[in-house]
Amino acid sequence: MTTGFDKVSALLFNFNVEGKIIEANLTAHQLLGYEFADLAGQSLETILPVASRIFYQTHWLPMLQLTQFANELFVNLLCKDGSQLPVLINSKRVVDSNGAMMITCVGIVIQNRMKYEGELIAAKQAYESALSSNAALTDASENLRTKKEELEKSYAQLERQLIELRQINKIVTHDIQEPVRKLLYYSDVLGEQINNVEDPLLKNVQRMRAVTQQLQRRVLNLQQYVWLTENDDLKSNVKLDKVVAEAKLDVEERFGPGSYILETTTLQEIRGNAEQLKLLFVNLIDNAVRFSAENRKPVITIQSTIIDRNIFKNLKDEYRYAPHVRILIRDNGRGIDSSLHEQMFTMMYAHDNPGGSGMGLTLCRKIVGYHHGTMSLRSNPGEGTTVEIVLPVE
Amino acid sequence: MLLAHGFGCDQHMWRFVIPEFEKDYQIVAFDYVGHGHSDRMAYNKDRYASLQGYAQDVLDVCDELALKNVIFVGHSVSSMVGLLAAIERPHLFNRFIMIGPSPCYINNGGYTGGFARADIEGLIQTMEKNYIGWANFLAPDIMGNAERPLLAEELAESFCSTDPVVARQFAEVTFFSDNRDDLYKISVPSLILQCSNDMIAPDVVGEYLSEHLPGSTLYKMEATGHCPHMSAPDETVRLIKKYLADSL
Repeated sequence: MTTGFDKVSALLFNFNVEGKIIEANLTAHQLLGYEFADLAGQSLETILPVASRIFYQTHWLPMLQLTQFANELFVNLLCKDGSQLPVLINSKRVVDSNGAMMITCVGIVIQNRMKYEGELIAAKQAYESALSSNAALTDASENLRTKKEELEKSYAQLERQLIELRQINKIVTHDIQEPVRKLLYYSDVLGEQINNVEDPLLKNVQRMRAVTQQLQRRVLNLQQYVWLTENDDLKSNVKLDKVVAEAKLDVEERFGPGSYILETTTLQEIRGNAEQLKLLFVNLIDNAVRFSAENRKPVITIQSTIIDRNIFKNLKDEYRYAPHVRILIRDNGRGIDSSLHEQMFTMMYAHDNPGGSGMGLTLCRKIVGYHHGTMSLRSNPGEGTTVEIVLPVE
Repeated sequence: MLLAHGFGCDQHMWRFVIPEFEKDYQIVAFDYVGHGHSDRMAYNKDRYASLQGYAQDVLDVCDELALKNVIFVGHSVSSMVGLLAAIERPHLFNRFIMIGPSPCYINNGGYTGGFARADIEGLIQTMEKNYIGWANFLAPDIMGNAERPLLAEELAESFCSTDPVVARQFAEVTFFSDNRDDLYKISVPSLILQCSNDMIAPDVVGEYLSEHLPGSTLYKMEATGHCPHMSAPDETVRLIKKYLADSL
C-alpha cells in the first residue's frame, strides 16, 4: 500500500541509531532502483557509498548527537546498479512511539545543480590557488630581500671571524705546539740525567712532564676545534655503525681493551662528515669511560630511532618536517648535577677530569651543530648520564 | 587528562565524558589550530602538512600549561597524533587512551586499513560540496558576525565548525597518514577502545594495532560506530575508568 506521501518527489527515509533503515518511501525506492519495501531492514551502508559513510561517521552523526538536526547536507547515495545519486538532505533525531531513537531524513535530488556546483568549486579552487600563490610570491620576495640583507651582514662578519680563526690556528699549530714539544723533549732529557731515583728533583720533573702533556692534549683539541670550522662542508653518506665501531677502537686504545662495555643497536646511515662524526663518538664514549662510577665497570649503550622533526630551528613560523635520527648514549657513570649541564658545553670548562681537555662536549656540540642537529644532556649524580643527539638524515 | 578531538569535530565532542573525570583529574581539552574556537590566523599550511604539526599542538599545550604525567585521550586520528608527541617527548605521558585509532587508513599490500585512495578522494569531494551547500552545517563562524544575538540551536550547530581549507588538508593528512613504523618507537601503556562495526577503524585495524603497539591493551566495545564518547558515553567512561584502575 502506498500513500500520497510515498509518491512525493523527495526521498523520505528513516533509520535507527544502529544504522538500520526502518522505512523508506516509494520515491526513494524508485530513485535508488529498488522494489518497493525492499529497503526496510537493510543496513544504511546499502545506500551510502564509502565516502558518504566516512562523512556520516565523522560529521553527520556527531552533529545529530550533539544537537538534534543536521541540515542541508550534501551526500551521494548509492543506487542498486552501483551508480551514485547526489542529494541534499535534512535530517532530525527524534524519539519514536516506542521511545527508541530514530533519525528521519528528507532528501531531494540535485543532479542538475551539481553540474554548476562542480564548475563553481573548480573556479573557486583556481581562484584560491592563484590568490594563495600570489600572496605566497609577494611574501617570498619580501622575505628574500630581508634575508639577503641579513646574509650580507653575516657574510661580512663570518669573513672577519674566519680570518681571526686562521690566525689563531696558526698560533696554535706552530707557535705553541713547537715549544710544547720541546718542553717535553727537555723534560725527558732532564729526567734521564738524574741517576738517583730518590732524588726529589725527579718527582718535580715528572710533574712538569705531566702538566706539559696535558697542555699538549689541550692544544691538540683546540686544533681539532679549529679544524672543524675549516672542514665543515665535506659531507657524504656515513654509516653510523662503522663510525661508532671505529670510535670504539680509538677509545679502547686509550683505556685498554675490555676497560668498558659498549652495546649498540643498528644505527642508520646519514648524510654527514665521517671524520667529525667519529670525533663526536670518540669524545662521548671517552667521557662516559672517564667519568665512570668508582665501583662499576662502565657500560655504555647507544640506541637510535628515526623521528620527524622540523628542519627550521631558528626561523619562526617555518615548517618542514623531515626524518632525523635520534641517538641516545646512556652510561652508568657518576652522573652530573643538572645545574652544571649548560656550563659543561661552554668552551674550556674543565670538570674535575683527570687527563681531559675540557673541550670534549664543546667539540661535540659544534660537530652536532655543523650537522644541523641538536644535543642535550639528562643526568643526575649517581644515576649515569644520557646524551641525546638528533641529526637530520639528509 | 588531556583530551584531543578527532577529524570532523572539535573539543565539544568531549562534553558527555568530561564531567565523569573532573573530580579525579585536571581536565584539559583543546581545539587544534584551525578548528573550533582556535585562532585561525595561527594556521600554517606547512606546519599542518603532516600529523607532526598537530603533535606540536599537543606539545605546545603541554608546555604552556606545564603538564606532567599526562593521560592522553585521543579520538580517532588524535591517537596517532598523541603517539607522535610521545615519541618526541616520552617522559611527558603516563597513559594513552585511544578511541577508534588506526595507524593507516588505506589498504596497502597485505595490510587492511579499510579504504582505497578513491574513497578518500570521494570524501574530500563530499566535504567540498558541503561547504557550498552548507548554510549552517560545517560553516565557519559566520553566525558570530551576525547582528542579532545567537540562538541556542545556532550556537550548538556552529560547534563542529571548521574552516574549509583546514578541513580539506586535515582530511588528506589524516586519511593518507601511515604511522605503522612509528608504533614500536614508544612504550607508553595504552588502551585501545575498539567499537563494534566501526567502518573508519574496523576490528582488523584494532587487532593489528594491539599486536604491534608495545604495552597496549585492547577493549572491544558494544558501542557501534566511530564516536562512542558521544553515542555511548557511559560505556566509554566505564571502560576508561576500569583500565586506569587496573593499570595505574
